Amino acid sequence: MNETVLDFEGKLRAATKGTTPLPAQKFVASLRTRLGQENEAGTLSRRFQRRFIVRASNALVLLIVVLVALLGPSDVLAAIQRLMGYVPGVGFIQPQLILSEPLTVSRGNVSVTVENLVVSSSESVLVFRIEDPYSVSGSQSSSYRETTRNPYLQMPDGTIYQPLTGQGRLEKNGRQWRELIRFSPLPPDTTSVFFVTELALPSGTLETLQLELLLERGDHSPMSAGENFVSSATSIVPDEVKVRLDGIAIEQDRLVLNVIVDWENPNWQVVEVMNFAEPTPKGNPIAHFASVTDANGAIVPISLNTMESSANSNEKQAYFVFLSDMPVNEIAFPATLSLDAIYVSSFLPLSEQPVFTFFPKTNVIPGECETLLQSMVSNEIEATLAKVCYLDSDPHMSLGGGGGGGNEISPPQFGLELSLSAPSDIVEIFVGDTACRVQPNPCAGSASYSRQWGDSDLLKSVHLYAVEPNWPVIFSIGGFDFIREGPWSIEFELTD
Amino acid sequence: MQRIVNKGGAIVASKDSGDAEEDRLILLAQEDPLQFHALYDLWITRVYQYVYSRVGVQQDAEDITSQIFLSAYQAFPRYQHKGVFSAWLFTIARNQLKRFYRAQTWRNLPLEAAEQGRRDAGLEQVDQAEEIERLSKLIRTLPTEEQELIRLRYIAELKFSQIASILNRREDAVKKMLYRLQERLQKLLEVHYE
Repeated sequence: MNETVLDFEGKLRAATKGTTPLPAQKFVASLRTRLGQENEAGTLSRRFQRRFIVRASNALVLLIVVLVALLGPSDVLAAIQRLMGYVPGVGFIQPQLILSEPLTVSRGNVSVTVENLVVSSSESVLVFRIEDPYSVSGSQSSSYRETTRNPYLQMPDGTIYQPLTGQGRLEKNGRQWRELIRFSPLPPDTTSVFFVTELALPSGTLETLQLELLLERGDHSPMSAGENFVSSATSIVPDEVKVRLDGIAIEQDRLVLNVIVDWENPNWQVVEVMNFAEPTPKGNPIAHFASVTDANGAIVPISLNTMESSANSNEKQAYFVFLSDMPVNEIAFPATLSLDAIYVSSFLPLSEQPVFTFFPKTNVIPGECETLLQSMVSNEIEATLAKVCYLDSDPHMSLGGGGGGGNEISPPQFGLELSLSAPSDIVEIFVGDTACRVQPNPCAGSASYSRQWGDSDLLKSVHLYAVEPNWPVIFSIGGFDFIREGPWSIEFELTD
Repeated sequence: MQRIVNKGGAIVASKDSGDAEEDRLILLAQEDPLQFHALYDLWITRVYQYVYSRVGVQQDAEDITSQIFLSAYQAFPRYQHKGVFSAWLFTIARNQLKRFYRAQTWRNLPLEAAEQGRRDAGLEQVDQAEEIERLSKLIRTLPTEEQELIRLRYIAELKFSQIASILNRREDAVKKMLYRLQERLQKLLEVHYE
């Protein structure tokens, strides 16, 4: 590098860094303090974790004692059992879903209480009791058994689950009947289900009860959060993606929806709801995959407001905010938010990267291509190497413009352009030369071209070498971007 | 020498013993989270200036910088020091900026706002020589990718190996791009003077 260049570098610094202000000291100190608070919280949790557990255990015991004294042992025991996934007559099970809270309806002296609905991967167990404190015939289990008839569970979409087995017993000297009914497992994303049964009243009339049972996850984490809305149904397809409404608000007469997308696949780095495949004219709202339909079936136009896809892939969560483009008072509730698809950027660990081997069939002539049919299949991706072309120019060279320079660096002398076919939902594939894992040269710098930017159905990747590579070249797929079709739908309602 | 492997498995950068001090700070921070402050002090100015050069508004730059360091701090226990810390940090920064710009696009803010803010800030804070001002304008006319290269090199003051890791390019390719860009800018600047 000569002196002129060095001098020019100084000018470049002056024109860039020199025109950029330093951070305000107040801001630097404030952020440092904030980080310190984060650290303190983290350290605190580790340092006092054991002590906290001991204290929490003591507090729990004390709480149980107080509750037993106030409420009586049987109710407290039932509540604890419910929280711990214990089902009378079944034992402790690992629940995927449990009833949010018991539900009671009364008809005259008779009350029906659904104590629990526990959904595991193998079954759904419903526990309910019937109480008739003044019943003189209550000592006969048959009379209670005949009180409820034809019970079943009905999903919001109308799907019915008929009982598989049932059992019951008399309690409280015949004034209470507790029954347990087993069903097939409900879908793990179920947020509510109806318990439907016919109830024979002492008056002789027959009434059909339909109790909506709200479910929460077995670990007691909420299916949805927020104070002023009710999420009554969540359809999740496919299983590894969960879309939920984290909150709803009204700002300047517009509906604001906070949507969270959670995923399980550790290879997914980024999830977006923007529709990259649809070009967005400058100044127009960004195309996205979400839509809202109100109770009348009218489409509510919404815009993607802000998006906070996690910067850390380990969080496996993305956060989006949508804003209605029409006043909230023109929207009929309940409304339904639908996410038709998501855009996923995926990264494959080295051990999972599918590879294919390329060996030239003919002489390597720049500008010529070889048509191939090699398929690569892994758990995550299926792609076919359709064509390999030998490049005689360096696409990267054009990036820096014309001119000579860079004497100490040799320009790439050799290039391969790979064309791959893959399912249409895959929009970009990142291909690497495995030789680069063990040696810097000869191995390829690489660049991939997204499907929507290309002019054909094939995905491409370009690999540039300083010298002709050692044949065969073994390529691997390091990651890919794809569109995962939904839809995911969430029905929601404003309570006030 | 340590090799840095990109998404496709390609070695895009290498680092030498010059990074020993940063390595030491990272090890300390991994043992004691309190020591993350040392990394913060090392990078705060460069990250802020890099962000400011992208958004041109102090408040936005501070918000984004805060988010970058908070995200980095939260993710740091899972950070594996196999590569270059700065590349990891600036990847977070670029992701945050990407989100910021997407949000900005939605809000339909005047696209010139950030640019104007940048100009205003520059003029307020630095008494620029005419040549520097012309060079500054020239840089703003460059394609986005070339502007980014200049920011990473001269504002964030990153090494070629670090830039290569961030851009998923090989180190020699980054060097070549930058040298050619310098030459082109020099020629353009001379044309302006003539």
